[in-house]
Amino acid sequence: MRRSWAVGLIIISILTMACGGAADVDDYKAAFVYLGSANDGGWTQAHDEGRQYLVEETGIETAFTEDVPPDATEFRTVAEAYIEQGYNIIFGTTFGYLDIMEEMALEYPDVTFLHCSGYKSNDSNYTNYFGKIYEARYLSGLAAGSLTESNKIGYVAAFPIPEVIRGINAFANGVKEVNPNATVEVVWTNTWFGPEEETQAANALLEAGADVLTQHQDSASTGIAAEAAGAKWIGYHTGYGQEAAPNAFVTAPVWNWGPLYTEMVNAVVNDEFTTTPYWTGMSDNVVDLFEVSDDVSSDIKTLIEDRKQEIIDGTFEIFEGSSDGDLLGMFYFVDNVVGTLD
Amino acid sequence: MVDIQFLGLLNATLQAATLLFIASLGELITEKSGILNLGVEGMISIGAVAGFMTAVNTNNIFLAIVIGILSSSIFASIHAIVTVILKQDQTVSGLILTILGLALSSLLGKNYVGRKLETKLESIFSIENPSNVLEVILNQNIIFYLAIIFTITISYILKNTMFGTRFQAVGEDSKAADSMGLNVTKTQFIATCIGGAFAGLSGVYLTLSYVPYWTDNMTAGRGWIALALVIFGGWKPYRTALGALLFGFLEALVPRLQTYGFELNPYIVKIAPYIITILVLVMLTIYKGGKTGAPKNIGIPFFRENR
Repeated sequence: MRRSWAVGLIIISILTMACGGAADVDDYKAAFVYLGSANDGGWTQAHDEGRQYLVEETGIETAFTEDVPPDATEFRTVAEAYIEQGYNIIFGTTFGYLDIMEEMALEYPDVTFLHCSGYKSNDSNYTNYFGKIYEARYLSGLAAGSLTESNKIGYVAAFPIPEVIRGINAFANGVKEVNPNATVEVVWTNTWFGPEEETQAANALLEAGADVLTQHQDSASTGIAAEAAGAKWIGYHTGYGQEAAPNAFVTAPVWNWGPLYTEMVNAVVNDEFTTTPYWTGMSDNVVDLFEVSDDVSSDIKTLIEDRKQEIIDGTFEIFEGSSDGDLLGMFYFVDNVVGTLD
Repeated sequence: MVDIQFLGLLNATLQAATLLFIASLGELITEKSGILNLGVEGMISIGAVAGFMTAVNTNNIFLAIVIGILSSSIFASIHAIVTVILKQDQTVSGLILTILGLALSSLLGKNYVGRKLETKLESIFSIENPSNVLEVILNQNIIFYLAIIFTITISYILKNTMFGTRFQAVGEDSKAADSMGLNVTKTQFIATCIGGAFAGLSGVYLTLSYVPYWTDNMTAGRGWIALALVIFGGWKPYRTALGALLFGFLEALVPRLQTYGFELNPYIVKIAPYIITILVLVMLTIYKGGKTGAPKNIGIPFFRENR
């Protein structure tokens, strides 16, 4: 009896495969593992908006778990629970999941592992993806350079690693283009998240004479400090700073993960998935600049729009003559940045 | 420019110190009664989120402060019930309070992340652009002044009054205190709730004034520094205040040094409070024969039947 069941199942599966195994999104379920809370107004919220876009576009079933620390055991517990429930695409949205995702990709060859902001991949079911947010940083630098009166712009920076440095330099290049006399002053907090440290760093920059601030970290503390001091602020991740610091907020480089998530999931579903890392920017609409406030003159707004189009068309280079490799390993400051880098 | 930066450093030191000190003072009171509460981080978070939610919804700062204090105090009573009434392990219960407090505050504050606070807790004498040291000090808000008043009164009560002596007797030798007719259970219960109330005040200081908004994990480890501060201060209010100023100064100094092109190793600065505390303990052991000032009965549950 049991044997005939098994034979029946095998026949059915063979038949299904023989029929061409028509790509069907219903055969896939995608699980997202988040570092923070899905409405943190920053990094994780941007990913969750991407997930919602993905659901709308493809109709795939998704689930997510918030507040999973970048720790191998924590990630494994969450991811394995999803795999047991039949989830076969796992998104991990923080750098710290790098090694555990690589390890689990070996253990579960039928599951696709997609890792944000990492650099590892294998040749079958594990790769990484990231957005060229520095393109939007450059555009926001154009706005900042035109707004400063003290010619000092403060940058509350996270960790001295290429990703952050690339953002600072791109921003400074934008500043220089519209205001060659302005400098970008950097203060490191050595945290990704730390409301108090960010407040201290922002105030230190304001006291040093900065009248426009921006930051790399996840909280809006920098904006709140700018608001209190009557300075201007360029946010990061999402446009939510508009509410937290309405007078200070000018614009923000923002993430738009939805199209990329849709592209990656479609590739998996249609069996076209390759493990070449995804590193795209404005041309794929993965990053963008949030609507610029009216603090910025219409001339500068036009310049921003023009440059944006040139970046999309590939006719303008923010770092002239730099290869992707140069950009990914960037460890120097351009000449209008003032700060320590060892 | 240098002046503004110096005054900024002073202002930032006072703010960072106030946050740490208020929570430490509460823990000091709890520990003096013989109860160790490692839940400071969780209690600050509860006060911070409760105060912020109240302020956003009512725009009433006074009410927000009261609600923040009460919530943390009620939250601390969990620790009191578990350790004072049920006599369970204080370390475990305190750690649970930290974990629970952080999780509960994230849950409660979910819809308040990134919301703007319409009315902040302002200073009593609002001085625009303070131009000297006195003006910077006068420009602090009411919680800073409360901290000073608390330091003086609590130190006085502990040292010079019969009430203070009896209170400390409970933490030093609860069995002797009990035979003298003191109500150990009641004292410890109330002291734990007072510790929670102070942590709550520290929390509202954070979200209503110092960093006026809410996001998950706002406290980011300040509760642990507050705990270290109690040890650093040898369970004495004035020395704890001094320690708070020192730790607050370090926190304010790091970003400001960078604007002059110096960089202190950030990791050393982050562990400094703990390293300094350990050094103080070591020095007390060497020079004072181990008299750190810790209440002798700390962490030991009081069983009346065990007399």
